[in-house]
Amino acid sequence: MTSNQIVLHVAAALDQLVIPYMLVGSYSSNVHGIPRSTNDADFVIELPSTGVPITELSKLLGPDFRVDPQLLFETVTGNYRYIITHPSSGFKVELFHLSTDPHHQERFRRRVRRMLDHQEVWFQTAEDVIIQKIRWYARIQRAKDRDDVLDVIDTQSPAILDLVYIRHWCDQHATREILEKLLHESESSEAT
Amino acid sequence: MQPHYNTPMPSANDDIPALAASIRRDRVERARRMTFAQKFYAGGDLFDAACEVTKAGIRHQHPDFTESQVLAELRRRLALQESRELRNLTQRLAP
Repeated sequence: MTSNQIVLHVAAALDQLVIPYMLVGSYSSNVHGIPRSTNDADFVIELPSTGVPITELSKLLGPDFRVDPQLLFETVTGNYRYIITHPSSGFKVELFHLSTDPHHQERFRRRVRRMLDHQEVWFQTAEDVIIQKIRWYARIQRAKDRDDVLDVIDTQSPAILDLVYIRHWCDQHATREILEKLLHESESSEAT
Repeated sequence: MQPHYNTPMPSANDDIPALAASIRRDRVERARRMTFAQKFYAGGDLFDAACEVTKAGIRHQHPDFTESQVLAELRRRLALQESRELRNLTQRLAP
């Protein structure tokens, strides 16, 4: 099973269990920007009040997958997650619990559905990739996050993006200065 | 998908920033020509290809390894990379 088949298989299982989800992380920055290699897939899921039915999920995924039954606290993001591994490929899928953070709630409401291989898959929007990646960049100064933002801005072009929405959330997160710098950098590179 | 290099390459007299800008423009143009689905599949395909190259390297380094040992070594290297990234993140988050 390829990495992409694993991602689509997990998405199909969540659909079957009627667990609302969206793909975030590098899979979402890839579809809105410039694709790069990724060794995992991050989903945000709206946890049912009864929790994720791990037994059913494991059954749907099949014997090639290992689902950790523990809901783990992730210290870096401060969110709860389930980890699914596909041992024969080394590929990992993380299911993050939708947090109460206002932007996380909003980006989940704005998620978009796309058809891939006759299967509908939910993604966060390009605007939300930018907002979230800038938020990360402000926190940990990881070059990868900054590059992903520039890739999305350049590929989508600022004319297509909802800049009012992006600026609103960057103001909320006190990251507006970084956004404007990156927009300016993108404009400058277009002009050369 | 075969890459298409539409942007003229700068001459040897041009400076490095001009070359970098040219490569950048080319990458953006190629990404704009890709469909949503092509971009979805590209990330996973790149990872799978990188794993195959790594496994070939492990086989070359350890010709006596069985396929399950090759896979175990690949997983060990992936875990090493992940723990290194996590350590870097944790250090950056530290007050």
